Amino acid sequence: MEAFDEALAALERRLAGEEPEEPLDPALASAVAALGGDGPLDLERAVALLSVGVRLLERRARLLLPPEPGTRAAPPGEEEGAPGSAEELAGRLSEYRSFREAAELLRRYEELQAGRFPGGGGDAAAAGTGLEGLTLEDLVRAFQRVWEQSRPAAPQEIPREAITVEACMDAVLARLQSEGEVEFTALFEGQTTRRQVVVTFLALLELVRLGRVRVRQERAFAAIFVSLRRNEP
Amino acid sequence: MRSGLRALIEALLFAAPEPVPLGRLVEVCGAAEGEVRAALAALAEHLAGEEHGIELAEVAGGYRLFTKRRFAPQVEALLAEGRPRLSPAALETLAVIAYRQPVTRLEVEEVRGVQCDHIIRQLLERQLIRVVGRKEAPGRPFLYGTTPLFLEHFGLRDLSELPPPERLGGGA
Repeated sequence: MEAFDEALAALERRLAGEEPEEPLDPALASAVAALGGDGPLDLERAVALLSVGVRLLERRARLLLPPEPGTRAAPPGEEEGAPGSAEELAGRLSEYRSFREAAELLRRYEELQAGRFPGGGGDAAAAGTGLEGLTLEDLVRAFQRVWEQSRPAAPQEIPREAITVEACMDAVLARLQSEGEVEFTALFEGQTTRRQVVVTFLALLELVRLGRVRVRQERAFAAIFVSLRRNEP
Repeated sequence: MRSGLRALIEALLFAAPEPVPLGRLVEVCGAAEGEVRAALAALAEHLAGEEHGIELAEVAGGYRLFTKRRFAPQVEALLAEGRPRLSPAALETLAVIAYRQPVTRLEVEEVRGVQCDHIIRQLLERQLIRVVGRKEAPGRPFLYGTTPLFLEHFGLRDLSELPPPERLGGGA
Protein backbone atom coordinates (compact mmCIF):
# COMPACT_ATOMS: atom_id res chain seq x y z
CA MET A 1 0.00 0.00 0.00
CA GLU A 2 3.06 2.25 -0.04
CA ALA A 3 2.44 3.04 -3.73
CA PHE A 4 -1.13 4.02 -2.95
CA ASP A 5 -0.11 6.30 -0.08
CA GLU A 6 2.40 8.04 -2.37
CA ALA A 7 -0.22 8.47 -5.10
CA LEU A 8 -2.71 9.87 -2.57
CA ALA A 9 -0.12 12.28 -1.19
CA ALA A 10 0.56 13.51 -4.76
CA LEU A 11 -3.16 14.15 -5.27
CA GLU A 12 -3.33 16.02 -1.97
CA ARG A 13 -0.39 18.20 -2.99
CA ARG A 14 -2.21 18.95 -6.23
CA LEU A 15 -5.32 19.91 -4.28
CA ALA A 16 -3.22 22.24 -2.14
CA GLY A 17 -1.86 23.87 -5.30
CA GLU A 18 1.67 22.61 -4.66
CA GLU A 19 1.80 20.69 -7.93
CA PRO A 20 0.71 21.59 -11.48
CA GLU A 21 -2.91 20.87 -12.40
CA GLU A 22 -2.32 18.87 -15.61
CA PRO A 23 -2.87 16.07 -16.27
CA LEU A 24 -5.28 14.85 -13.59
CA ASP A 25 -6.60 11.60 -15.09
CA PRO A 26 -3.33 9.58 -14.98
CA ALA A 27 -2.72 10.65 -11.38
CA LEU A 28 -6.18 9.48 -10.30
CA ALA A 29 -5.83 6.31 -12.37
CA SER A 30 -2.50 5.39 -10.76
CA ALA A 31 -3.99 5.92 -7.26
CA VAL A 32 -6.98 3.70 -8.15
CA ALA A 33 -4.65 1.03 -9.59
CA ALA A 34 -2.46 1.10 -6.48
CA LEU A 35 -5.56 0.83 -4.29
CA GLY A 36 -6.77 -2.31 -6.09
CA GLY A 37 -3.67 -4.44 -5.54
CA ASP A 38 -4.11 -8.18 -5.11
CA GLY A 39 -5.66 -8.29 -1.65
CA PRO A 40 -9.09 -7.23 -0.44
CA LEU A 41 -10.17 -3.62 -0.94
CA ASP A 42 -9.03 -1.36 1.91
CA LEU A 43 -12.18 0.65 2.64
CA GLU A 44 -10.37 3.26 4.75
CA ARG A 45 -8.00 4.09 1.91
CA ALA A 46 -10.79 3.95 -0.67
CA VAL A 47 -12.72 6.57 1.32
CA ALA A 48 -9.62 8.79 1.58
CA LEU A 49 -9.13 8.56 -2.20
CA LEU A 50 -12.79 9.31 -2.89
CA SER A 51 -12.66 12.32 -0.58
CA VAL A 52 -9.61 13.84 -2.32
CA GLY A 53 -10.84 12.85 -5.78
CA VAL A 54 -14.23 14.47 -5.29
CA ARG A 55 -12.65 17.72 -4.11
CA LEU A 56 -10.31 17.79 -7.10
CA LEU A 57 -13.12 17.11 -9.56
CA GLU A 58 -15.34 19.69 -7.85
CA ARG A 59 -12.65 22.30 -8.29
CA ARG A 60 -12.00 21.29 -11.89
CA ALA A 61 -15.73 21.47 -12.66
CA ARG A 62 -15.97 24.93 -11.12
CA LEU A 63 -13.18 26.19 -13.37
CA LEU A 64 -15.14 25.06 -16.41
CA LEU A 65 -18.20 27.10 -15.46
CA PRO A 66 -18.60 30.64 -16.84
CA PRO A 67 -18.10 33.39 -14.22
CA GLU A 68 -21.17 34.70 -12.37
CA PRO A 69 -22.76 37.67 -14.21
CA GLY A 70 -21.25 40.93 -13.00
CA THR A 71 -18.14 39.34 -11.51
CA ARG A 72 -14.63 39.44 -12.83
CA ALA A 73 -13.36 36.12 -14.05
CA ALA A 74 -10.60 35.36 -11.60
CA PRO A 75 -7.78 33.08 -12.59
CA PRO A 76 -7.58 29.75 -10.76
CA GLY A 77 -6.33 30.11 -7.20
CA GLU A 78 -6.97 33.88 -6.97
CA GLU A 79 -10.50 33.90 -5.66
CA GLU A 80 -9.32 35.09 -2.23
CA GLY A 81 -11.20 32.83 0.12
CA ALA A 82 -14.48 32.65 -1.76
CA PRO A 83 -16.45 29.57 -0.77
CA GLY A 84 -15.04 26.61 -2.65
CA SER A 85 -12.09 28.61 -3.95
CA ALA A 86 -8.68 27.03 -4.36
CA GLU A 87 -7.54 29.03 -1.35
CA GLU A 88 -10.36 27.76 0.83
CA LEU A 89 -9.90 24.19 -0.36
CA ALA A 90 -6.17 24.39 0.36
CA GLY A 91 -6.99 25.70 3.85
CA ARG A 92 -9.37 22.83 4.49
CA LEU A 93 -6.86 20.32 3.23
CA SER A 94 -4.17 21.78 5.47
CA GLU A 95 -6.56 21.52 8.43
CA TYR A 96 -7.36 17.92 7.52
CA ARG A 97 -3.66 17.11 7.25
CA SER A 98 -3.00 18.40 10.74
CA PHE A 99 -5.74 16.16 12.13
CA ARG A 100 -4.30 13.22 10.21
CA GLU A 101 -0.99 14.01 11.88
CA ALA A 102 -2.76 14.13 15.27
CA ALA A 103 -4.36 10.76 14.49
CA GLU A 104 -0.94 9.32 13.67
CA LEU A 105 0.32 10.63 17.00
CA LEU A 106 -2.60 8.99 18.80
CA ARG A 107 -1.79 5.74 17.02
CA ARG A 108 1.78 5.91 18.38
CA TYR A 109 0.47 6.62 21.90
CA GLU A 110 -1.95 3.70 21.55
CA GLU A 111 0.90 1.46 20.41
CA LEU A 112 3.00 2.41 23.43
CA GLN A 113 0.13 2.01 25.87
CA ALA A 114 -0.87 -1.36 24.37
CA GLY A 115 2.35 -2.81 25.78
CA ARG A 116 1.30 -2.02 29.35
CA PHE A 117 -1.48 -3.99 31.02
CA PRO A 118 -3.20 -2.41 34.01
CA GLY A 119 -3.72 -4.17 37.30
CA GLY A 120 -6.77 -3.90 39.51
CA GLY A 121 -9.43 -5.74 37.62
CA GLY A 122 -8.17 -5.25 34.11
CA ASP A 123 -8.45 -2.73 31.39
CA ALA A 124 -11.73 -0.85 31.24
CA ALA A 125 -10.80 0.68 27.90
CA ALA A 126 -10.03 -2.67 26.36
CA ALA A 127 -12.97 -4.36 28.03
CA GLY A 128 -15.29 -1.84 26.43
CA THR A 129 -18.50 -3.49 25.32
CA GLY A 130 -17.22 -6.78 23.94
CA LEU A 131 -18.18 -5.51 20.50
CA GLU A 132 -15.25 -5.05 18.13
CA GLY A 133 -15.59 -3.33 14.78
CA LEU A 134 -19.36 -3.10 15.06
CA THR A 135 -21.97 -1.32 17.13
CA LEU A 136 -24.95 -2.72 18.97
CA GLU A 137 -27.04 -1.30 16.15
CA ASP A 138 -25.08 -3.38 13.60
CA LEU A 139 -25.70 -6.48 15.70
CA VAL A 140 -29.43 -5.76 15.87
CA ARG A 141 -29.45 -5.21 12.09
CA ALA A 142 -27.78 -8.60 11.59
CA PHE A 143 -30.43 -10.10 13.85
CA GLN A 144 -33.17 -8.50 11.76
CA ARG A 145 -31.92 -10.50 8.77
CA VAL A 146 -32.08 -13.73 10.81
CA TRP A 147 -35.53 -12.71 12.04
CA GLU A 148 -36.84 -12.19 8.52
CA GLN A 149 -35.81 -15.73 7.61
CA SER A 150 -37.40 -17.33 10.64
CA ARG A 151 -40.90 -18.78 10.40
CA PRO A 152 -43.78 -17.26 12.38
CA ALA A 153 -45.71 -19.83 14.41
CA ALA A 154 -48.94 -21.06 12.86
CA PRO A 155 -51.81 -18.96 14.24
CA GLN A 156 -53.77 -21.92 15.61
CA GLU A 157 -50.77 -23.31 17.44
CA ILE A 158 -50.41 -22.64 21.16
CA PRO A 159 -46.69 -22.99 21.75
CA ARG A 160 -45.49 -24.49 24.97
CA GLU A 161 -41.79 -24.44 24.45
CA ALA A 162 -39.68 -24.95 27.55
CA ILE A 163 -37.02 -22.54 26.35
CA THR A 164 -35.41 -19.99 28.64
CA VAL A 165 -32.76 -17.31 28.20
CA GLU A 166 -30.60 -19.05 30.83
CA ALA A 167 -30.74 -22.36 28.99
CA CYS A 168 -29.88 -20.64 25.72
CA MET A 169 -26.96 -18.84 27.39
CA ASP A 170 -25.61 -22.18 28.54
CA ALA A 171 -26.12 -23.64 25.07
CA VAL A 172 -24.31 -20.73 23.39
CA LEU A 173 -21.41 -20.91 25.89
CA ALA A 174 -21.14 -24.68 25.43
CA ARG A 175 -21.02 -24.28 21.68
CA LEU A 176 -18.39 -21.54 21.84
CA GLN A 177 -16.32 -23.68 24.20
CA SER A 178 -16.36 -26.60 21.81
CA GLU A 179 -16.10 -24.75 18.50
CA GLY A 180 -14.13 -21.64 19.42
CA GLU A 181 -15.33 -18.84 17.18
CA VAL A 182 -18.80 -19.20 15.67
CA GLU A 183 -20.37 -17.11 12.94
CA PHE A 184 -23.31 -15.05 14.21
CA THR A 185 -25.92 -16.54 11.87
CA ALA A 186 -24.70 -20.07 12.66
CA LEU A 187 -25.93 -19.57 16.24
CA PHE A 188 -29.48 -19.64 14.88
CA GLU A 189 -29.12 -22.65 12.59
CA GLY A 190 -31.73 -25.32 13.18
CA GLN A 191 -34.01 -22.91 15.03
CA THR A 192 -37.26 -22.85 13.21
CA THR A 193 -39.54 -20.76 15.37
CA ARG A 194 -39.29 -17.06 16.06
CA ARG A 195 -39.53 -17.72 19.78
CA GLN A 196 -36.31 -19.77 19.65
CA VAL A 197 -34.59 -17.12 17.55
CA VAL A 198 -35.59 -14.28 19.89
CA VAL A 199 -34.56 -16.14 23.03
CA THR A 200 -31.18 -17.04 21.50
CA PHE A 201 -30.57 -13.40 20.58
CA LEU A 202 -31.57 -12.28 24.09
CA ALA A 203 -29.15 -14.86 25.48
CA LEU A 204 -26.38 -13.48 23.27
CA LEU A 205 -27.09 -9.90 24.35
CA GLU A 206 -27.02 -10.97 27.98
CA LEU A 207 -23.65 -12.70 27.45
CA VAL A 208 -22.31 -9.52 25.84
CA ARG A 209 -23.62 -7.47 28.77
CA LEU A 210 -21.97 -9.80 31.25
CA GLY A 211 -18.71 -9.54 29.31
CA ARG A 212 -18.56 -13.28 28.70
CA VAL A 213 -18.47 -13.24 24.92
CA ARG A 214 -16.73 -11.17 22.30
CA VAL A 215 -18.47 -10.15 19.06
CA ARG A 216 -16.26 -8.90 16.26
CA GLN A 217 -16.54 -7.79 12.66
CA GLU A 218 -13.31 -7.32 10.68
CA ARG A 219 -14.71 -4.65 8.40
CA ALA A 220 -18.01 -3.17 7.27
CA PHE A 221 -20.38 -5.76 5.74
CA ALA A 222 -18.09 -8.67 6.71
CA ALA A 223 -19.35 -11.66 8.67
CA ILE A 224 -19.87 -11.23 12.42
CA PHE A 225 -18.13 -13.72 14.70
CA VAL A 226 -18.84 -14.61 18.32
CA SER A 227 -16.27 -16.13 20.68
CA LEU A 228 -15.62 -16.52 24.40
CA ARG A 229 -13.85 -13.68 26.16
CA ARG A 230 -10.74 -14.27 28.22
CA ASN A 231 -11.21 -15.78 31.67
CA GLU A 232 -13.93 -18.03 30.28
CA PRO A 233 -12.98 -21.67 30.88
CA MET B 1 6.91 9.75 55.37
CA ARG B 2 4.57 7.74 57.59
CA SER B 3 5.66 4.15 58.08
CA GLY B 4 3.82 1.72 55.79
CA LEU B 5 2.24 4.41 53.66
CA ARG B 6 4.08 3.28 50.53
CA ALA B 7 2.88 -0.31 51.01
CA LEU B 8 -0.67 0.88 51.68
CA ILE B 9 -0.72 2.90 48.47
CA GLU B 10 0.69 -0.06 46.56
CA ALA B 11 -2.17 -2.23 47.90
CA LEU B 12 -4.80 0.37 47.01
CA LEU B 13 -3.50 0.82 43.48
CA PHE B 14 -3.21 -2.94 43.01
CA ALA B 15 -6.90 -3.36 43.88
CA ALA B 16 -8.28 -0.29 42.09
CA PRO B 17 -10.09 -0.96 38.81
CA GLU B 18 -9.24 2.50 37.43
CA PRO B 19 -6.71 5.30 37.96
CA VAL B 20 -6.97 6.71 41.50
CA PRO B 21 -6.77 10.50 41.79
CA LEU B 22 -4.38 11.97 44.34
CA GLY B 23 -7.26 13.44 46.37
CA ARG B 24 -8.87 10.03 46.74
CA LEU B 25 -5.58 8.49 47.95
CA VAL B 26 -5.20 11.31 50.50
CA GLU B 27 -8.76 10.66 51.70
CA VAL B 28 -8.42 6.85 51.98
CA CYS B 29 -4.93 6.88 53.49
CA GLY B 30 -5.81 9.62 55.97
CA ALA B 31 -2.44 11.22 55.34
CA ALA B 32 -1.35 14.68 54.30
CA GLU B 33 -1.10 15.38 50.58
CA GLY B 34 2.65 15.94 50.84
CA GLU B 35 3.11 12.57 52.52
CA VAL B 36 1.08 10.79 49.85
CA ARG B 37 3.04 12.52 47.08
CA ALA B 38 6.30 11.48 48.69
CA ALA B 39 5.07 7.90 49.09
CA LEU B 40 4.00 7.80 45.45
CA ALA B 41 7.41 9.02 44.33
CA ALA B 42 9.09 6.41 46.54
CA LEU B 43 6.81 3.67 45.19
CA ALA B 44 7.52 4.68 41.57
CA GLU B 45 11.26 4.58 42.24
CA HIS B 46 11.00 1.25 44.05
CA LEU B 47 8.99 -0.39 41.24
CA ALA B 48 11.28 0.99 38.56
CA GLY B 49 13.93 -1.49 39.72
CA GLU B 50 14.79 -4.45 37.49
CA GLU B 51 13.45 -6.91 40.05
CA HIS B 52 9.86 -5.67 39.53
CA GLY B 53 7.52 -6.49 36.66
CA ILE B 54 5.10 -3.64 37.28
CA GLU B 55 5.44 0.11 37.31
CA LEU B 56 3.51 3.12 38.58
CA ALA B 57 2.14 5.54 36.00
CA GLU B 58 0.10 8.71 36.13
CA VAL B 59 -2.76 8.50 33.63
CA ALA B 60 -6.19 10.09 33.19
CA GLY B 61 -5.77 12.33 36.22
CA GLY B 62 -4.83 9.52 38.61
CA TYR B 63 -2.29 6.83 39.46
CA ARG B 64 -2.35 3.22 38.28
CA LEU B 65 -0.12 0.17 38.26
CA PHE B 66 0.79 -1.31 34.89
CA THR B 67 2.85 -4.26 33.76
CA LYS B 68 6.16 -3.20 32.24
CA ARG B 69 6.26 -2.98 28.46
CA ARG B 70 9.05 -5.51 28.11
CA PHE B 71 6.72 -8.25 29.39
CA ALA B 72 3.91 -7.37 26.95
CA PRO B 73 4.23 -10.49 24.73
CA GLN B 74 4.01 -12.88 27.67
CA VAL B 75 1.17 -10.98 29.37
CA GLU B 76 -0.73 -10.89 26.08
CA ALA B 77 -0.19 -14.63 25.65
CA LEU B 78 -1.47 -15.26 29.18
CA LEU B 79 -4.60 -13.20 28.64
CA ALA B 80 -5.07 -14.78 25.22
CA GLU B 81 -6.57 -11.55 23.94
CA GLY B 82 -4.77 -8.50 22.60
CA ARG B 83 -6.04 -5.04 23.33
CA PRO B 84 -8.30 -3.99 20.46
CA ARG B 85 -6.79 -1.19 18.37
CA LEU B 86 -8.73 1.64 16.83
CA SER B 87 -9.07 1.94 13.05
CA PRO B 88 -7.38 4.87 11.24
CA ALA B 89 -10.83 6.45 10.69
CA ALA B 90 -11.67 6.15 14.39
CA LEU B 91 -8.30 7.68 15.36
CA GLU B 92 -8.85 10.56 12.94
CA THR B 93 -12.34 11.19 14.33
CA LEU B 94 -10.99 11.06 17.89
CA ALA B 95 -8.23 13.52 16.99
CA VAL B 96 -10.79 16.02 15.70
CA ILE B 97 -12.94 15.59 18.80
CA ALA B 98 -9.95 15.82 21.17
CA TYR B 99 -8.70 19.07 19.66
CA ARG B 100 -12.03 20.69 18.86
CA GLN B 101 -14.18 19.60 21.83
CA PRO B 102 -16.96 20.31 22.42
CA VAL B 103 -17.76 19.60 18.79
CA THR B 104 -20.80 18.42 16.82
CA ARG B 105 -20.89 15.45 14.44
CA LEU B 106 -21.37 17.83 11.51
CA GLU B 107 -18.25 19.79 12.46
CA VAL B 108 -16.24 16.55 12.59
CA GLU B 109 -17.62 15.57 9.18
CA GLU B 110 -16.70 18.96 7.71
CA VAL B 111 -13.08 18.36 8.66
CA ARG B 112 -12.93 14.72 7.54
CA GLY B 113 -15.08 15.15 4.43
CA VAL B 114 -16.96 11.89 5.09
CA GLN B 115 -19.88 10.77 7.24
CA CYS B 116 -18.85 9.92 10.79
CA ASP B 117 -22.08 8.85 12.51
CA HIS B 118 -21.13 5.16 12.56
CA ILE B 119 -17.67 5.82 13.98
CA ILE B 120 -19.05 8.25 16.55
CA ARG B 121 -21.49 5.56 17.72
CA GLN B 122 -18.60 3.09 18.05
CA LEU B 123 -16.54 5.60 20.04
CA LEU B 124 -19.53 6.30 22.29
CA GLU B 125 -20.03 2.58 22.92
CA ARG B 126 -16.35 2.18 23.76
CA GLN B 127 -16.72 5.14 26.13
CA LEU B 128 -13.84 7.01 24.54
CA ILE B 129 -16.14 9.97 23.86
CA ARG B 130 -19.35 11.20 25.47
CA VAL B 131 -22.10 13.71 24.88
CA VAL B 132 -21.16 16.84 26.80
CA GLY B 133 -24.13 19.02 25.86
CA ARG B 134 -26.09 20.43 22.99
CA LYS B 135 -25.14 23.24 20.66
CA GLU B 136 -27.44 26.27 20.65
CA ALA B 137 -28.02 26.00 16.91
CA PRO B 138 -30.91 24.78 14.75
CA GLY B 139 -31.74 21.20 15.70
CA ARG B 140 -29.67 21.56 18.91
CA PRO B 141 -27.15 18.90 17.83
CA PHE B 142 -25.16 16.93 20.41
CA LEU B 143 -21.74 18.18 21.38
CA TYR B 144 -19.08 15.51 21.90
CA GLY B 145 -16.00 15.48 24.10
CA THR B 146 -13.42 12.93 25.22
CA THR B 147 -13.66 10.87 28.42
CA PRO B 148 -11.18 9.76 31.11
CA LEU B 149 -11.06 6.40 29.28
CA PHE B 150 -9.74 8.25 26.23
CA LEU B 151 -6.82 9.49 28.33
CA GLU B 152 -6.26 6.02 29.76
CA HIS B 153 -6.40 4.34 26.36
CA PHE B 154 -3.58 6.57 25.10
CA GLY B 155 -1.68 6.74 28.39
CA LEU B 156 -2.15 10.50 28.81
CA ARG B 157 -2.27 12.32 32.15
CA ASP B 158 -4.58 14.96 30.70
CA LEU B 159 -5.38 16.68 27.42
CA SER B 160 -2.53 19.15 27.87
CA GLU B 161 -0.16 16.26 27.05
CA LEU B 162 -1.36 16.39 23.45
CA PRO B 163 0.93 18.67 21.41
CA PRO B 164 -0.54 22.15 20.92
CA PRO B 165 -2.44 22.54 17.62
CA GLU B 166 0.12 24.97 16.19
CA ARG B 167 2.77 22.25 16.40
CA LEU B 168 0.78 20.00 14.09
CA GLY B 169 1.27 20.26 10.31
CA GLY B 170 -1.48 22.67 9.32
CA GLY B 171 -2.34 23.95 12.80
CA ALA B 172 -5.41 22.05 14.03
